[in-house]
Amino acid sequence: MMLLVLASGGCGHEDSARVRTFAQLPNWKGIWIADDGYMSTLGLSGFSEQKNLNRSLVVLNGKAPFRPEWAPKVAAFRAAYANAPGKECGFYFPQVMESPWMFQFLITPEETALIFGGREIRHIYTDGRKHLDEDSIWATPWGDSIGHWEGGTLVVDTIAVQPARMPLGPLLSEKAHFTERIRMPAPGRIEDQLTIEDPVALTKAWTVTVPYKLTALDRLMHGDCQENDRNPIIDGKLTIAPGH
Amino acid sequence: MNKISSARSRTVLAMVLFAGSLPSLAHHSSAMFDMDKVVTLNGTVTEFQWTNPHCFIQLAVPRGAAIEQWSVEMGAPIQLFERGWKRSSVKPGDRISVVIHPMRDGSKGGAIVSAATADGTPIGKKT
Repeated sequence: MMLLVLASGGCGHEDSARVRTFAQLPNWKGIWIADDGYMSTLGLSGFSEQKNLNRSLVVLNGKAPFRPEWAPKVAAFRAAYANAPGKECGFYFPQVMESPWMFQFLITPEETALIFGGREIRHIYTDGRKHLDEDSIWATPWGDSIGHWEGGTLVVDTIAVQPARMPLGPLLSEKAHFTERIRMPAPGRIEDQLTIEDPVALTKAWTVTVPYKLTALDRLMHGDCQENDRNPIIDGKLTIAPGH
Repeated sequence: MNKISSARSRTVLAMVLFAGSLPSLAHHSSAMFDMDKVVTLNGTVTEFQWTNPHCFIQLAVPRGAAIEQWSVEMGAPIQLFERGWKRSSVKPGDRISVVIHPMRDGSKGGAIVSAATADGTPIGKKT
């Protein structure tokens, strides 16, 4: 009993402050999906596939201001992939933010987690921590993300991202620095304004905005890459294995 | 009965530039599909694979005296479900019409654009 009282007394103030902070955070519940026209190729009766193709297909594949000495690498990157396409079980950052995977936000005072349908979780730490020093950090597919709230906008700072393997977005260097401003401009809509600075690959900061829409799903059901993979690569080309 | 028709679709420059590299689906790029072409298949469902990373409709398509076996690739189950498809949306024996972007290599497969029952009712349309 005394232990319980001590524990309660010791944490009460902190807990109350946390509850107040929690209450001020936005409610972005639900399952979200990028709304950029890209998802049109998944098959939807009654949906105008060709009409949708006339839109800007992928925001992150827009015209980035590549440095002249970097542009040939971008061209080679895209050509290599087009000539010898591979398969991916996941997406690199920032491409994952425009991938076909649906996701949900899990917002707490200390962290916002983006839980993707590919069984992946993006951690954005909002507890005031800094990026690790250079000796303690290395480039990874999603890098290291820290953030803070400016009213209803989640501002995210990301570094140490490995260059993507799929050309769903710009080819960048490991020096790329990403700043996101994620907010809800209207009910059922989220947008991620992403600014990329890369002194190696880009001549100037490049800003794009990825829109998201709220789906009607009430839960996230995860996918898998290997359950029924019928796309063997034969002689360097993707194929469809015949049916049974 | 064994109608297979194709038509050039309107495609923007961006699509031409990137069609070979964009992953139209979660798992791989669209390089194997001719996204500049659509083909309509009328046939009978032999199997509906509600599986990850892609669903497939296996379709028996009469062509002359022969029956062609087509594999129609779709998105992941959750992606289709969100669009209104159910695992029971099509069943073996169903006669359906499917519009696809065909394989570039001429093999009997493609990426689905839309599907409808024999009387033209859209399948998998969110209501």
